[in-house]
Parts: sequence; structure tokens; C-alpha cells
Amino acid sequence: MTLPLEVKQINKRFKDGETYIDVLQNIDFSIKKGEFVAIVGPSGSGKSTLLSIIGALLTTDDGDVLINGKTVKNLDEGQRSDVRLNDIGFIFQTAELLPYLHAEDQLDLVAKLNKMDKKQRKARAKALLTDVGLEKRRKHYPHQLSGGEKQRVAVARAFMNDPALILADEPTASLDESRSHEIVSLIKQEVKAKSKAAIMVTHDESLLTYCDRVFRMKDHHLIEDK
Amino acid sequence: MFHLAIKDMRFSKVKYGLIALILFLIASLVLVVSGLARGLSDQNIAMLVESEGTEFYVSADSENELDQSGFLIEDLLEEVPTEEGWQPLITHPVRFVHDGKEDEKLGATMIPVDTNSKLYPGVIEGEALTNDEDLTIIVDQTMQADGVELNDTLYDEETDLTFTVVGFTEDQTYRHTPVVYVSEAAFYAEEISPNRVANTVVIFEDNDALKASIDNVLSEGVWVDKTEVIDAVPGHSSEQMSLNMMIFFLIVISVFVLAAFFYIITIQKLKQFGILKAIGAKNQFLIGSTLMQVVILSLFSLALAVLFTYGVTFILPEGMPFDFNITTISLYSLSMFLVSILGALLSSRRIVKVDPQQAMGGAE
Ligand SMILES: Nc1ncnc2c1ncn2[C@@H]1O[C@H](COP(=O)(O)OP(=O)(O)OP(=O)(O)O)[C@@H](O)[C@H]1O
Ligand SMILES: [Mg+2]
Repeated sequence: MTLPLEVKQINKRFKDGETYIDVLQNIDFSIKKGEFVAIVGPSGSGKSTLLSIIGALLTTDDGDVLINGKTVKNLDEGQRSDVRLNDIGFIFQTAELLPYLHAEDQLDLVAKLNKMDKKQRKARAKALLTDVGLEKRRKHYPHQLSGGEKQRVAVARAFMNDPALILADEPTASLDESRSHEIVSLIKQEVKAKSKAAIMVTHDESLLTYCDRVFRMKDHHLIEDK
Repeated sequence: MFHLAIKDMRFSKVKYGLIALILFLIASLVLVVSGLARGLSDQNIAMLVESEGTEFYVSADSENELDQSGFLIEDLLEEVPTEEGWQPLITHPVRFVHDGKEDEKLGATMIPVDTNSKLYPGVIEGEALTNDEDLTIIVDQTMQADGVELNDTLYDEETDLTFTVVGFTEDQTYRHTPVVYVSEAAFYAEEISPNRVANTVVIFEDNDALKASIDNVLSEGVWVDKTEVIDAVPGHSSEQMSLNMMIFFLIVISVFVLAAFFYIITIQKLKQFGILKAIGAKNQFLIGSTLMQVVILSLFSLALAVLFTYGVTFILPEGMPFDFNITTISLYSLSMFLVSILGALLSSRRIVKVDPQQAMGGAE
């Protein structure tokens, strides 16, 4: 059985003037279907960098990333864009919705980019918005939604194209404590229900109870809590 | 792509409305100014443009300028009858007193004409000219703006003759004056010109034999075609040039204004483009949506500007020359359209350069 995500011996360094700074060293792990994984670590330790490499937004110096068994290495820009569209669902720090689309159209857009037919798009958007508790807010624009509601739309959008992998970089950074717990339990609920693999980067240790496994970034390495 | 473009514009009505307004104003300026300038320049040459004459025999040293060219044509009339396909053309400047207003003389160009010839333009109002020796005239309708009506009389001090206006014709202006047609018979009977003269000899189709026989009799002239004669009308070339310069600069200015506007809009949306790229949208799609907006905006604004320009022709005071010409309107509209597309394309480079990684927290 192919794993949704395999990360193999990744190294990443950034050029800083004359010198190089190592950010990631020998990162190596994999995730199974239905697993919800957390990554924690101090600021500047390379969590976003790692998530960007896994999400085909950034290339790695060495090693490889396999999503659903397919390598992301050596893909051109358009192919990486297709990987992000088809195989990965992103949830960002803030919801990052388009101001001029109502909730249902936010979901419709990504499915349309993926050439899903109209009937299916409508049905999926409706079902997902119901899952995240926004069936009554389907026609609301971002400026008519609360911060928590916007992030729920973003969660629903991440699942819209039925991706193998969900990547969430501090998805609760802009929310208060009880909203944070709501959103993370929502992500967990969807990950389990749809049997996806998910990685969440967070600074909030209290959210780790929702996760199946916890990794810590320490001195450029990723170490799993046992 | 189309729906996204429309939804964005519907959401930010004011922003896009302002751009549409600017586009509309610039386009209207281009169209109205060119209409006025062209109308004005038409007053200089319309009589020649409308003429059925194809080739003109002019004095060799006249530099194709009709007023500098002249022939005695008594011999020609005897040796080559006009039935063979030629006509003499005389432009005779006159200044009429109308309605007793001595100090407001009306300048005009008098042209004697055989009403059976191709030089006779016909009337759009009133009665046709007859080939007798009556002192009747038909005048260009622009004279109506000066208060000239049917059956009015116009007095020429120089010849002490009084003419009666029996009809109006259109598009007959020359050197910024209306053309007045009088019958050839009357013109010579009153000895307005003592001899049979002509500024030029006109033929109506290319006929080498005829050209050769006319050249034989008159000599010291050359055959030139209509465009050469029009280009030589004093003022015409410089008017055309200043008109074209004006339009050229207006269009150059609009490139900059539109490019700046589209650039600002694109810059404002760079973050959105980054997010869209991160979740899988391609450059092609993003540039496509942006261009779609520009196409919709320009088509809308240009259509309004054309309608506006058409409306302007109705509210302009009578006698104000304005040329609402479909060919030039479409030409300028098309250039404005291309200019806005170009302006939008300039900012698409910024879309391509957006790094989708900026969507991920921490990189900014
Ligand atoms: N494009 C880049 N060029 C140079 N250095 C970079 C670049 N991107 C990130 N870095 C550096 O790499 C390190 C890791 O950055 P990263 O954003 O991955 O940290 P993080 O763990 O997500 O931090 P935070 O918790 O604050 O979000 C930082 O020291 C950062 O300065
Ligand atoms: Mg980060």
C-alpha cells in the first residue's frame, strides 16, 4: 500500500550573504492514511520551510518527497502546481479567502481549477460546508463571516479536491483559545472521516492532544515524541 | 476565468467603475478631438474628396496647387470637345454681402459648372441649377449656419452682381469656405472672367489618349491624380500632421495612464495571486482573468465613448465641422483597445514573479 507521504533524507540550507545557514538536516519520516501529525518547535527552527518543501512550494537541496508514492523532485513549475491542486490541501495562518467570493464559491473555485464538473462541485461544496457547520452561511462573503468561520471555510476548501495530504501551518495563530480547539478538532474530524494524512505546525501545546503523533524540530532535526 | 473576473469587478464596483470612467473619458477625448479636427480639415478639401474627377492637369510650376495653376482653354475647347470626357475646373474666391450686412461678408468659392457634367454635385434641398444665364446659385449647406436661406440673395461687390440661392448642396467646401455653384453660361455671360480659363482640367477615368491630346494643346502642364492635388491644398498637410500628432500623443498618454492603473490594481492583488498559486492556480489562469477584466472594461468603456461621440454630433452648434466617420472611429477604438491590453500585459510580469511560497507562514 502506498503511503500518502514519505519524506526521505531532506537537507535544506539558505544562502545568507557569503555563508550558508543549515535549516533542515536529514529529515526522514512518513505518514499513513488517517494520521494527524503535529510539528512543534521554536520560532525560526524551519517548520514552515519543511512544510513548504513537502507542499511543493519550495525545492529541497537533497533527498526526496513522495506524495502518494510519486516523487515531487524534478517536476517543473506547472507540474508542481498540479500536485498542489490535486494532492495537497493547504490551511494557512489566516483563512486567505478571496474577498469577492462567498463561501460556496471559494470551494467552487479550487474544484473548477481542477476541472471538476459543475454538479459534483455543487454537491461537494454543500456537503463540506455542512461538515464544518456553515450550511447556513454558504452565501456569505468573507467580510460577513467571523474569524473562526472564515477559517472553517478554509478548512473545507482544503478538502475540496479530495487531496491525499493536508498541510496546516499554524492554522489557529489568528484565533482565540476556544476557536482554536474548535478548528483543530474539526480538522481532526475531517481527517479521520475522509481518511487523509495531515500535518499541522503549531506553537500551542494544548492542541497536541488532538494529534496521533508529535514531532519536534530541534537543532535542524525532526524528532518524534515517544 | 470569466466568472472570477466578473465576480471581482462586481465586488469592487467603485474601483473598477473609476477605471472604466477614466478609459471612457480618454476614449471620448480621442474620438471627439479627432472628429473635430477631421471635420475642420475636411472643410479644406471636401469638394475635391467628393469630386468624381480622377486626374487633374495642372501647370508644371504650380506644385500641384490648384490656385497656382491656370490655363487659357479657348483652343482646347475647339480642338478637343468636352464630350470626350474632360471638364475645366475654376475656383473663384468671392465675398458676398448677405442681408445688407456690409461688415460681415461671407467668403465662398465660386465654381462655374455645366449642370450636365460630372462636376455638378446636385442639390439636397431646393431646386437644381439650370444651364441658362440666370444669376441663380446653389450653395453648400454650411452657409445655413450663417443664416442663408432658400431664395435669399447674395451680392458680390467686386462684380456688382446679385445672385439668388435656389438650392443647397452638401460636402462642398474648399479652403475652409463653402462652394457656390453657378452655371457656366451665366459665369461667362456676365464676364466674371473675360476669357475661357481654368485652374485645371479634370478627367473622370484613366484615358491615355485623352490625356495626350489635352497635353498636346495646352502643354506646360502635368497630369497628377486626386490625392496629389488634395495634398497640395494649402494647409492640408500641416493640418493632417498636427491632427495625427495630437491623436498619437493622446494614445501614448493613455498607454501610460492605463498601464499605471492596471499596475496598481495588480500590485494590490499580489498577495491574493500568491495564495491562488499556492493552492494550485497557474500563471496562465491568473493572467487570463486579469486580461479578461481589461477586455470587459475596455469594450464597455469604448462602446460608451462611441455612443457619447455620436451624441456629441447632435449637440454641437450648427456650422461646427465634425466628422463622425465609422472607419476612423473603429480605427481609434481598436487602437485604444489594444493600448489597454498592452497596459495590462505590462503588469502580468508581476503576476508571474509572485512566489507562491509567501503564502506559507514565516516566509514574509
Ligand atoms: N528564503 C529564505 N532565505 C533565507 N533564509 C530563509 C528563507 N526562508 C526562511 N529562512 C530562514 O530559515 C529559518 C527557518 O524559517 P522558517 O520560516 O521555516 O521557521 P519557522 O520554524 O516556521 O518559524 P516560526 O515558528 O516563527 O514560523 C529562519 O532562520 C529563516 O530566517
Ligand atoms: Mg513558520
